[in-house]
Amino acid sequence: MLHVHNVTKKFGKKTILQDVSFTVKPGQIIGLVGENGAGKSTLLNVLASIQPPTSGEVVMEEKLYNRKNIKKLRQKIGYVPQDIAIWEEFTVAENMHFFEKLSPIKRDHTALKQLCDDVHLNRWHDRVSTLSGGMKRKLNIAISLIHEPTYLFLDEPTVGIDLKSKVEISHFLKSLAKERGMAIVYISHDMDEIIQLCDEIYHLGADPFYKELLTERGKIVTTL
Amino acid sequence: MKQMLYMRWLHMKRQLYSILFWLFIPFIATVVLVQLLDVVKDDTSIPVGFVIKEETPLTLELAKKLEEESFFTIHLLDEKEALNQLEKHELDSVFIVREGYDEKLEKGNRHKLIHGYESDMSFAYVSTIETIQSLVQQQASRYKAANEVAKLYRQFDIPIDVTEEELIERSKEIEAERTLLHTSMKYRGDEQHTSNAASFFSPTFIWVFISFLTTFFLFDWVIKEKNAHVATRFLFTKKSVTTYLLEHFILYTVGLFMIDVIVFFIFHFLYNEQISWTFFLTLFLCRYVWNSSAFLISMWIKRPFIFYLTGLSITFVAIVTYVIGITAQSTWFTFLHPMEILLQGNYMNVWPILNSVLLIIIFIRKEDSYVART
Repeated sequence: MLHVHNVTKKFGKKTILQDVSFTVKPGQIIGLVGENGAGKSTLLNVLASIQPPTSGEVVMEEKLYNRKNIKKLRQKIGYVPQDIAIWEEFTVAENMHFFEKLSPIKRDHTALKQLCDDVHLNRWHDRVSTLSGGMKRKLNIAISLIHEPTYLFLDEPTVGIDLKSKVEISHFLKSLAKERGMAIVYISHDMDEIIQLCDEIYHLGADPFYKELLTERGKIVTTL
Repeated sequence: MKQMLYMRWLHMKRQLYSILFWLFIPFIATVVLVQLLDVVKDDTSIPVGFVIKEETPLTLELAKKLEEESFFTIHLLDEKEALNQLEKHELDSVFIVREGYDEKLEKGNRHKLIHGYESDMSFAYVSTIETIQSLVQQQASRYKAANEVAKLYRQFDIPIDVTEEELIERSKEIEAERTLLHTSMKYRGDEQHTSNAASFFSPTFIWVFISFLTTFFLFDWVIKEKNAHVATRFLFTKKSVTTYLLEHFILYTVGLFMIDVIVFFIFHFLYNEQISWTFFLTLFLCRYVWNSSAFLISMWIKRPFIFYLTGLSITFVAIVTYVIGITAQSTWFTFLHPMEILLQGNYMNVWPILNSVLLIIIFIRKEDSYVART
């Protein structure tokens, strides 16, 4: 379980997040929606411990994000950044093996290949620079799962991916949540994807556009 | 270790030719430059014909001493050939050592020992004569001194247990031991050591500066890897990006030191450069200073171009200050010069300590970055 208590995040005098509170349960997929600059990526960065909150606290499995706990807690986190964070000059296999060497959990060659198959990435020996944007995004997700995280935070992971791949990734994420009990927080501007994938939807920012759009389609949206 | 090597290999194999180029260019460039300097030296030295009518220890020693003079290229020829080449102006002058050189010298007779020939185009005849004269004088003085010592023993009826030859050999040993290489000179209270210093354009001198510069070209991986989007992923691995970079810095330092050792073994066989355990210790310290300097600078700089420019600037300043002699005049500058360790065998340098402290600070600060920002 992940609890977010009254998290505020400021950059200088500008307040990006103000007293945000919510809970993420195991097996749950939470969608974050809102206009550009609403603070979705900032909130995800705070959850992933990339940026500390200005005030408030984040508690994961009854352990507070602090100096003492953070290193161990980070090993439970899988983070899929918006920018593709992979070595472009490596092959798919080399990327997987490189991050496996840094992972606290050891995975053999077969397990790594299976992870790529799970996200429908089957160009194991191809260099990343020769892959399409969609393929790279699939690898971006696969690498984040090498250390078998309990929590997965994804920042617009399907931007530029074709519809078929989007559906495949959605199915895979659903299976991670349902079968493995993984808690997922997901940012997307694709409302179909949010509706199809998420159990709960949170809205950030002043513009009610996304909230109204989703409410019209019968979804319950909570404003943070 | 195995994992580190594997990860580094993955990065290196994609740019293998570039890395190999920067790894071996100091060695290759040094060999080429030394070769070029030899050619230039041969072209600018004075060709002198030397004819030995009777090969004796003293005549051979004289020829050897002349060859050691950097201004001359000595051609050992027979008389006919030497005079023929002089007529064709292929030689600047010719010197013929007649029979009985040793006997005459031992008797203290220095007249007509050597016959000299010049042509109408000789320009260094006089200076060559002066050099030969001084060498002959040296040999003659040695014999005279040995004779005098032996005479004194006989005059005072002291039993002599050494031969004159042994006295001469001993005087040569003393000369070799008391060369300026081990002399400390003082001028206006400042002590200036002339020991162990690598001379300008020696293989070591050339290699040091090229190697220092290429270290910067080899360390651009730090900038590329720390600035990559991938760096974020290290938060969720068992190692921080700083630990990862530091480990690979150590790997590079060990690897480059091993290459340096091989290079100096080759230099030893090619150019008779002196190697010893102490030298290799100095070499390691030097390699550590260069690598840690390049590593620390790369941690502060974001663009590779600026990094290369910084490396070039430091190398340029280091060469100029060394060549014009600022390091030799100022003790403080000696402490600051990154090449002094190897060129002068001077351990008293600020960088090994300062760089180590900075590496520790960076390591501790980056490890606690989450807390520091909180």
